Amino acid sequence: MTLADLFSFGFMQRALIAALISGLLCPAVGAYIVQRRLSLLGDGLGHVAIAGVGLAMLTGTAPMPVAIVICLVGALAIELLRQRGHATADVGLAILFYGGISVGLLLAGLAGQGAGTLSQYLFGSLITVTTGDIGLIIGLAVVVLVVGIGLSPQLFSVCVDEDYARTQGLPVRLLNLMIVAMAAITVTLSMRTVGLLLVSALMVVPVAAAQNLAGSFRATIGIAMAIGVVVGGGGTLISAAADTPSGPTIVVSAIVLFALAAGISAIQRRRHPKVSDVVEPTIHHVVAEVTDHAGSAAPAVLHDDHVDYLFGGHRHAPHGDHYDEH
Amino acid sequence: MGIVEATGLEVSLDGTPVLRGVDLSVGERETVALLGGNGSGKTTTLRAVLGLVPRQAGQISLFGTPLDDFRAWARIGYVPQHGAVQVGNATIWELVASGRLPHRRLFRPLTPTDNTAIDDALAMVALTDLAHQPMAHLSGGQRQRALIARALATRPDLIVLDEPLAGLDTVSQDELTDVLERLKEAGLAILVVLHELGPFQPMIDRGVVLRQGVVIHDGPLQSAGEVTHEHAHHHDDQPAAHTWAAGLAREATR
Repeated sequence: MTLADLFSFGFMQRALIAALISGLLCPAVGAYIVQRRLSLLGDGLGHVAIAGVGLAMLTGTAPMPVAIVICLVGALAIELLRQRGHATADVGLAILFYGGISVGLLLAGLAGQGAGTLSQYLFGSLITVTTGDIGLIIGLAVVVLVVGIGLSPQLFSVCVDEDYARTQGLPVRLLNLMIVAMAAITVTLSMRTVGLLLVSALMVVPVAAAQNLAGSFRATIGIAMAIGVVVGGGGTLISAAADTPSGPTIVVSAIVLFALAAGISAIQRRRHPKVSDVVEPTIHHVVAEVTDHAGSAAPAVLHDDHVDYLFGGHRHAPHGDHYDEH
Repeated sequence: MGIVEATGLEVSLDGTPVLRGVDLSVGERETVALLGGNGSGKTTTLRAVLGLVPRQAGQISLFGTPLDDFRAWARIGYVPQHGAVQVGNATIWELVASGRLPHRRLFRPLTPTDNTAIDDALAMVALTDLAHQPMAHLSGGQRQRALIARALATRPDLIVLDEPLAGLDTVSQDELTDVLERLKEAGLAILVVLHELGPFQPMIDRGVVLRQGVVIHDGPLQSAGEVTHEHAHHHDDQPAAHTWAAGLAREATR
């Protein structure tokens, strides 16, 4: 059977659509998560969603809607905990995350389904995407993309500098809650293709790869989404052709692209050094008279790799916000 | 009516009292320096005035409006310590453009007014040519100027800076001084937290010196050059003579 034959099946078409959407969505949300240095949040949310899958198995309902609700509740709880600034937030997160996995496995066990059935949600399984799933995936993906792209100026400001965003009168708490809610939805929508334990990689790795290539935040999001679509689609095709699990195939493809991007970036850096080294060289190589801290001119003396300024018989070397005696 | 009026500020962080009855005012076109050593409460005072830390007691008003009711955030430009800002590979332009948010409506692109304000802010800090460079590639002085441009993009009446000189070499410090002198000439009120006066000394109208959460001096800093001079020296060579204010400031920074 050729690849084309394979994709004449409805379930393979659904798998491809789901993977492409995950590829588009995960990096779009991941860019904010990475900017806020919360790269492991997606991982934790995946753990929480497992409890939802377990619950759905026990109650005999469709896993994705239940998992979305559970994951959203968990995500909002995590964010509220963080906003309160509890000293125990770190331990609280660990309990929530591992509690999520354990409860999921427990409920799946009670439902008479072993870890084997659960593993298709943990690492992705192409054949499991249902028609109902596709409707939910497309609908929620549109919502997340409209918010994530449409509010990107506000979300960007909050991710860069929360305090500053507050002095702009932005609803910082609400925007933070929106970021984790978008992450929760994205993680759960990706459980069929990438899997709940690997989805965080699709949020982080394309963004990390794009950061090597892009010269701005906007370009980072654009390139990351492009990489996500390529590895989502490509990984699905490889997975179908080679009969490998879809999640690991997609993630390994993303890591290969990351390595390529890092290589390209290293070559570029060698050709174009940083601006701060080139544009204002005087900052690092002042060998003239400089106004000293008392307001008068002090003679400069070269001293190994830096410049000292003579002061009443002793030498001062500028060091950060003070002077060292030499 | 002052731009900033704070009275009887009391702030505790993690149960420890940090401010114990601080009064602070900034008038129109006035440049006020908050001075003091590490742990004196100068940064906490600034953050309390902006509503970034909750207060246990005291009144704060901004532009005549109580802080809790204050909505005219576009009139204030806040410049945090440049080490604290996570920029990733955002460009200077992107960072400065985010300063327009108090004027922007949701789901709308930048207007021509926004773009003009962004260009003006970049020109004010002499970063026009570097506008599309990623922040990560910049020197400390350039980063600091970019953060000032972000604050200026909203066209504020008050600019608030938290230790803008920290970690900068003397050349960058002088460039920054030029920028702030231009802002002062343009009529902005300036509230600046400083560890030492440094090159800012000539433009400071009033110094508020804090020690252990209490204001120990509020007024002009006569012969403040003494303060900077003595501070830059190591503290074992004792000063020959001091004015009262300079002495207090020097002691407070220990």
